[in-house]
Formats: sequence, C-alpha cells, structure tokens
Amino acid sequence: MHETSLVAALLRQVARLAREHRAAAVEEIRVEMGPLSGVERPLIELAFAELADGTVCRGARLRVEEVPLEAVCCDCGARFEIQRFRFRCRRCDSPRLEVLRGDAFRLVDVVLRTHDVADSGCGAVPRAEERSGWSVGGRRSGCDDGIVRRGRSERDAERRS
Amino acid sequence: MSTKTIHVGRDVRAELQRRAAELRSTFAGRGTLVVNVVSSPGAGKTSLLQATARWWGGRRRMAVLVGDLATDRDAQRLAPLCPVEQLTTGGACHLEIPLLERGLERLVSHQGVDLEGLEFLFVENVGNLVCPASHDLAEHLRVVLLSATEGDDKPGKYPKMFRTADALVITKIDLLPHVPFSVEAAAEDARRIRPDVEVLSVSPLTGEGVPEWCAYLEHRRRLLVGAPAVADGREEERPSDPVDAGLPR
Repeated sequence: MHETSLVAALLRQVARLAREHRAAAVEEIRVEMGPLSGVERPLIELAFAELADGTVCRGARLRVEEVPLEAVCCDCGARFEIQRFRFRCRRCDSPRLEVLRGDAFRLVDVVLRTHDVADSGCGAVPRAEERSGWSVGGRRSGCDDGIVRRGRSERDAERRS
Repeated sequence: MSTKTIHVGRDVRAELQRRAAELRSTFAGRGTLVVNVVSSPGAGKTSLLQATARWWGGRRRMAVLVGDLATDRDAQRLAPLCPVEQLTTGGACHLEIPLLERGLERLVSHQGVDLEGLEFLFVENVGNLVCPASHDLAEHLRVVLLSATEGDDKPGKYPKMFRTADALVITKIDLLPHVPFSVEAAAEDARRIRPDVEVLSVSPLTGEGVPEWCAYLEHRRRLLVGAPAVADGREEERPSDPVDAGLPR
C-alpha cells in the first residue's frame, strides 16, 4: 500500500521531469533506499512494474540501490555504518550523529531520451532542482539528523533565533 | 535521439515534507504545540488524551484530530472533553498531511476552534508502529506509546518508529504487577535507538503519571514554540488528586 503510493509519487515526479525536458522517453530511473527508508525493495519493484505501464516511464529501467545506514559523529567526526540500529558513535560513543544515508527513499537521477532538435530549446529551462525549492524539504546542513528531522536542540535553536 | 541524465537527489516524499515543515512553522508562530501520538492499536492513545483533557480541565486550549480506518468511536470518547474531529482514512494505515489539513478546516468550521488561540493540537495517529513513522504530520513532538501488555522488547523491533519519537510513554502501568514488563528494559532498548528519548510512565486509568505527562507537554511547548511559562496564571489551581481532576478511578 505504502510502496504503491510512493511509486505513484515517483512516477509523477519523473513524468514532470520528462515534460520539462521534452523527453521522448525515460530510459532509466535510479532510486536509493536503506534500512530506515520504510520501504521494501520487492514491493517497490512490483509497484513500478504495475504502475509504469501507460505512463512515459513505460519500458524504463528501475535501478534500486540499497545503501547502508551511514552516519557521521558530530563530536569526533568519525564516519561509520550504523549496525543493528545502535545510534552511537563507534569511536567515541557520542549519541550526537547525523545520518548521511539509508533513511530516505530518494530519487537519485533520471536518464531521459530526448529529440536532439527539440532539446535545443531546453536551455532556458532551469535545472529541476533549482526550480521546485527542493532544498526546503531536503537535508539540512550541519549535524541535523536526517531521520529525527526536527532534532530537539535544533528546534530549540530555531525557536530562540 | 540522445540521452541526458537529470540529477535529482531528493526524497520522493519531499513535497509533503515541505508542506509539513511550513505548517509546523505556522503553528509555532501561533504558539501551538503539535503532538503526533503514535502507537500500536489499543496502547491507550485515546485514554491518554482523555486523561490529559481531564487533568487540564479547560485550563489549556487543546484540540484533537484522531485518525482511524473506520468509525468515529475515538472522537465520541473525546468530544465531551475537548474539540475533536475524526479523520477516517478508509483503509489507509496512517495519516498524511492532506488529510490533516482537511481535519484542521473541520476543526474550525464544525467545532468553532480558533486556531490562533490553540495551545496544543494532538494528532492521534492510526494504531500502527510501522507506516506512521514515515510521515511527518507537522508535529513539534512525536510521542510513541508502549503499553505494559505489549512487551518491553518492542523498540528494537520497530526501529524507525522509536528512532523518530521524541518521547516514549509507557502506558497501563497499573498492570505492571501482573505482566512481565520491565520499564527499564523498554527504556534501555529505546535509548539504544534514540539516546535522548524522554521516557514517561502513565496509567490513564488510575491517573498515575498524568500530571508529569502534562507538565512535560507544557515544558516542551515553552521550549519548542516559545509559549510563556504560565499563560493564564492559574497553574496553582491544578488539583493534586487525580480523582479531583475527574480522572476515572
């Protein structure tokens, strides 16, 4: 159920990109998932197979990359893989971590097949990620935990500022 | 024909996350603390909110949006105590922002709630320890309930939910003498996943822990949305006996 609605959202986003770039077809869609993404790979693939038909994504290759849960320690800077969901630094035992990946279901990139002539008109189209204010919903800089989107100290700081 | 690669690199849910962030900021500006209450079915979310409303007894302006697959039973339980709107998901296993937004409109139009003056908005999620973990409902505080009858081994089994929860509330502690549940073990398991998680214990049935829970909420509201310490100066009127506060015996 979950995966179906996520894949539907994914297909809408890819279709919009295809329109914006006047693509003739979509060749490949690359997504990234990890242990805390809240999705199952077989269900994603199944939903894609069913939903892509009849859209511009028909016949496109879906590449699902499974990445480990990775974090960086805000205190000592160590970068490591979180195993068995133990959220402490493996070097200094600090609980202050920023999750780098493995907690999102991310659309990484899309390979579009374009008409060379029509393509020349696309120069004025801004890059997709510049257009939609994606940075707003994306990962913040600093030691913001990707999963605990609104870490306690961060929200407190936001409020104080 | 040629190909070109468009780099995106953002979460598929980014648009909903952006809307949630905007809504969170709007509520913070109004001084409303939004609390997303999650748990498995039957852990006592509605009972805790009933006890909360009784303890405050109208001293805090609160409203509830309650999600369920079917029926308005939870809303009926809460209706005598505070403004409430039932969100019926029709089969969906969790609440999402669009449904929440419709519920907010109904709180205003059907219940006459003034969102500007609201101090606490509770969103009682669908009973489920899996899917609600992935959905930001514009909350400032996510609270996960774990009842004594469920077993103290649950945090590790549902890492995403317990990782994203700011507080763990152990419920039905009146049953602790009768069930093999260790509050310490549950807390330790939760802290492995979320080291800074706040752990509280309550029994909405006897009222034990309810004052501490309410004090915690008020504290978080002051910290997160910058509300004044005592909004109405009537803090001292709070009854010390849960029975006086109208809690069920």
